Amino acid sequence: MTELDPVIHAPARLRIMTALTEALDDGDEITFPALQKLLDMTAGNLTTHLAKLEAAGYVESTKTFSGRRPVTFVAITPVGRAAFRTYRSTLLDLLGGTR
Amino acid sequence: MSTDDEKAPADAALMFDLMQTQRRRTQSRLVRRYAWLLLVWAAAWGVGFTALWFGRDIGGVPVLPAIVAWIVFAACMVIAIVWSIVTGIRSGNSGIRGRSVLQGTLYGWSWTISMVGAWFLTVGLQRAGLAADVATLLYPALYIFLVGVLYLAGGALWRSIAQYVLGVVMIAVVIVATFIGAPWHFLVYATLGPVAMIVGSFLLWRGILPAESPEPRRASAADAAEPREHGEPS
Repeated sequence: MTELDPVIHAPARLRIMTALTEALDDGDEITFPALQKLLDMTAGNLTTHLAKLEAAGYVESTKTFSGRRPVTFVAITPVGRAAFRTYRSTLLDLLGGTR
Repeated sequence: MSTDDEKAPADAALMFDLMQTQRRRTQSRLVRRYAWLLLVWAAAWGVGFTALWFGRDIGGVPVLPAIVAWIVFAACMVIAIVWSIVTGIRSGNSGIRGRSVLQGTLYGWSWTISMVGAWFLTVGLQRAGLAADVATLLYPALYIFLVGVLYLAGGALWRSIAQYVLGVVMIAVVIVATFIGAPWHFLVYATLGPVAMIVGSFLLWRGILPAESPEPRRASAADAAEPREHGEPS
C-alpha cells in the first residue's frame, strides 16, 4: 500500500502529471508545445515520458490539424487523475503527515 | 525506486517538493499575463489619479493645469484598457481547449459587458442631470466597485482566495474614498488601489495554489483515491 506507483514515481513524469492535473479541468486538453512550455522540457524528453504515461492509460493524445499544421493535444484521463491522487496520498503517508 | 525504510522518506520528501514546485510554476505560467496586466493597472491608477490629485480645480494640490491632469489620466486609462483587450484576446491562445474555455470566455465577457454597461449608465445619469460634484465621486467609484465584484466572481470560479481578497479590498477602497469625499478620494485611489494591485500581481507571479477543501485523513486503503490536500498558503 505504501508502494509508490512506478509510472509516476520519476521526476519527469511526476512533473508532467502535476502540470496536467493543475492546468486542465475535466474535458480539457492542452497542445504539446504549450505543455512543453509549462514544463521547460525538450520535445524528445516529453515525448518519451508521455508515451510511458499513455501506455499506462494515464494520459491520451489526439492528433489533429490546425489549418495545415498538425497539432497534438494531450489530456489526462480519469484513471490518470485517480492514479495521481493515490500517488499523492501515498507520498503524504510516507512523509508521516508532516506536510 | 526504493521503498527501503531509511531511504523512502527522503525520496518522498524530494518528490513532494518537486510536485509542489511544479504546481506553483504551472499556476504562475498560466496567469503570468494577468500578473502583468495588474501591474499595468497599478501604474495607470498610480499615475492617472495622482495627476488628477495635482490638477487645478480637480484635486487637493493645484499644480497641473486641469486639462493636463485630465489628459494624463485619460492616457493612462486608454493604455490600460488597450492592454486589457490585448490580454483578453491572447488568453484565447493558451494552447488549452475544452470545457474550461467556455468558463474563461464567459468570465472575460463579463468584464467587457460590465465596463461598457457602466459607461452607458453614467451617460444616462448625466442626461438625467447628475450634479458635477456627485459625478466626480460616482465615476471612479462605479468602475472600481465593478472591478471588485468581478474579482469576487473570479475568486469564486477558480477557488482563488487571493483574488477574492483583492475584490474585497477594491470594494473597501471605493467605500473609504467615497466617504472621505472629493477631492481626497483621488488621493485614496492613487495610493491604496495600486498597492492592492501590486500585492495581487506579486501573488499571481509567485503562483497561487487554488484553495482545497479540507478532507479528513483517510482511514482505509479504499479511500486512497480520494483527493486529500494539505492547507498551504496561497
